[in-house]
Amino acid sequence: MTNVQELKESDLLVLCSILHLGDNAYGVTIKKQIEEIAGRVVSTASIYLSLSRLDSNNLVNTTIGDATPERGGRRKTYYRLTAKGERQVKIAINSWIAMIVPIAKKWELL
Amino acid sequence: MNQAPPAFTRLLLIWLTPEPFKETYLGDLEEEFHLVARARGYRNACWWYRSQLVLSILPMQQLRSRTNPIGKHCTILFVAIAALACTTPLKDASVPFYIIEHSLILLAAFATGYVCTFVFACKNFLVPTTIATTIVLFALYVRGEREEILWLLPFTVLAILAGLLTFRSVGGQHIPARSWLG
Repeated sequence: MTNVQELKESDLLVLCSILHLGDNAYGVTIKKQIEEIAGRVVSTASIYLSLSRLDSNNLVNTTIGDATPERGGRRKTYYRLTAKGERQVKIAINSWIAMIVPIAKKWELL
Repeated sequence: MNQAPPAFTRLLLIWLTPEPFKETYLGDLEEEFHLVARARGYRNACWWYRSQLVLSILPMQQLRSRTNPIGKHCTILFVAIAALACTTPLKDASVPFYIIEHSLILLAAFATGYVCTFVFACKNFLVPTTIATTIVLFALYVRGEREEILWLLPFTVLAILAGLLTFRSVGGQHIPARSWLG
């Protein structure tokens, strides 16, 4: 089973943006979400590399959408978090909070 | 005005992208291409599309290797051929020349192993490196060049150590040493 230590930061960003996007999570929107919220410049190819890793670890599942003309008649693949994926995000967030809160208190940011 | 992405780049992307991702990845790029064209114009969108081809090379090779279970065998074959091709030591050369020559032989085998690790599905750098150096040594032994083997042994150890240091999977996930040490 994948534990939280094996999740790369980029994979975690992808998982979080899928959560943010809900039912509209596919390559283009995931990339846009990461760029807008996390302020990172990422390539679509690297997003797919992360998605492939997450899919093989059963952290996301996929559904095929409709073909649209602006995509050259190609269909979209929508991504959703599995129960395991949600658990991993919760574990990651909890460990980050545990790490960050004492520092934020020490620096009087909270 | 033609609003389609550059045809040749699209062909290269089709060739580069592994089958399971072809439809969805190329569709995403085309959708983004139209968004960029609306925001910055067709010419900029074409350059953006071409840049995506360059940015796709490594991730798509990694994706390909994740979805290609026979890749490891191809890696072994490639490294074996490369190592055998390198095994042409010069006769009556001086000692420093031997060192340079054998360093180059192992470097070639090592570099081939490294490239193959990325291109195919080899789980780590250690396997191709070890195979390459073993084949070089075996080929020299068969040819009766025992002195060559003595010169090569330290380099073999170094190459295997370097293989150990770069022991990681092509998918970006580290393989813990304990999992192969048992």
